[in-house]
Amino acid sequence: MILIGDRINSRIRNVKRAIKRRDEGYIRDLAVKQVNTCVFVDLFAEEKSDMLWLIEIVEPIGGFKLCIDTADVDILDSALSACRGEVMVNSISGEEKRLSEFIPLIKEYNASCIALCMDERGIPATAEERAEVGSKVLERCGEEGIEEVYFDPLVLPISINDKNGLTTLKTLEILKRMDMKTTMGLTNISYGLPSPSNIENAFLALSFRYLDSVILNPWDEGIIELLRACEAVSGRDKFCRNYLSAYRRV
Amino acid sequence: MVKISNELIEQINENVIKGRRHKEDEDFEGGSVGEPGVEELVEEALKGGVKPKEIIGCINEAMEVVGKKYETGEFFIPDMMASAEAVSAGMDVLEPYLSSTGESMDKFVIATVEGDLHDIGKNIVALLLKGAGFNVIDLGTNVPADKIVETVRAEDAKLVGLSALLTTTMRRMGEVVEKLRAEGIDAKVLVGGAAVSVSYAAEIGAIYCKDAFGALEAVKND
Repeated sequence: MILIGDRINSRIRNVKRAIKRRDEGYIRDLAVKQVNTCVFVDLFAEEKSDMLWLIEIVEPIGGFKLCIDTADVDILDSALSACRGEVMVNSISGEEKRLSEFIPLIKEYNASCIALCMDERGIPATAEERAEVGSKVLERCGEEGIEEVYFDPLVLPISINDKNGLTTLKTLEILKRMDMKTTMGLTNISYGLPSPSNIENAFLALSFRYLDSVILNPWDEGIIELLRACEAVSGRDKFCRNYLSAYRRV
Repeated sequence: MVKISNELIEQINENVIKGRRHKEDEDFEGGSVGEPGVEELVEEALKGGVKPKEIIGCINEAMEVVGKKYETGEFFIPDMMASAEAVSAGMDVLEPYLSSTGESMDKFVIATVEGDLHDIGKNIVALLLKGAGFNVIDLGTNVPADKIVETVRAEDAKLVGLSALLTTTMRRMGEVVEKLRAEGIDAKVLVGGAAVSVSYAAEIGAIYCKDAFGALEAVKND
């Protein structure tokens, strides 16, 4: 399972403040605390200068790859040229504008990417429509020679519509049937509900078999333990090594 | 007759709070199945001669109770959604009666601004205001300023709601207000969404709404 850590995001109030104040120590600490669990550390900032500063601070820490989280082609272009190591782009979607802007850059920098199963019309209501948007993006990426694409079925809160979780699960199932790689963010599902980690844990356990990657808060020890257990029970942890690593007495 | 209509009004109020749209719906304890919900009760009240205005008044009061319960932590978002959905269904029953009696509902044009596809918050506001007796015209997401202005003018709406999640798209709100004013339209503009702040709303001459109940408050203060 490829974990993408979601802690360096200017939508989080304290992170936003640290970015504005150019608080290197704070940001570096956020990144260091993701090294052991995450393959990728996601970076989100709304301004280009902020994104470039984040890359400058976070990338040299090492031990993970960067995931550049933006919808702005100008920010993406500058960010990709600033990164030294391997990068993931978060995200493309079925929107024609986004595809035509992002694809040349993804190719140029040989990046992997996340593709949202939505387009100009917004997020489709049904799993079938979302999967259809996904397969169109897959086709386009195939034509362009982009292979490493993780499809995000999109997660909407169950507090708003109690079928939202089910729609995501069904989308994942269809995507997997078409042999597509998948990822998704976990936190959205629990928005507006008490004890959100219960909801996120249940959702992760149910969706685990359809996921190649997941975007989450890597500091949530409960969810990391659950993830290791999911890997172990679904034959994705040889000799239970990963699961056991937390319990060995040395 | 008076007694019956009072009883019906009371039941509508109660069922809006419980979020029971029709007779198949459960109440909080899993009971009440088979008893009429808002849809059936509104129908019955109208047939019994209760004035639509009276029903809308009752629904408004019930939604206020829902809002208060949400604020105190007794209710959660799904409870609010259940009530709003029940009300929305009740309003659909009411609508034909309103037009035949010549009564009309205030129009509220709502949209997520251009460049932004986020609509969860906007949809809650739309549902809640529909529940509060407004004729909500929902233009959807990624709506250009010109289309919003055009709709407000064509519908002669006195209320406009704009939503944006991103700082970058938030600026479109200012553009909408400017264009409205340039056309001489003095509709009240409500703004909300993750990126929006009280100060930004003040800067563009709009009313900031913290959440859907904030929007409800803002339109009631008219």
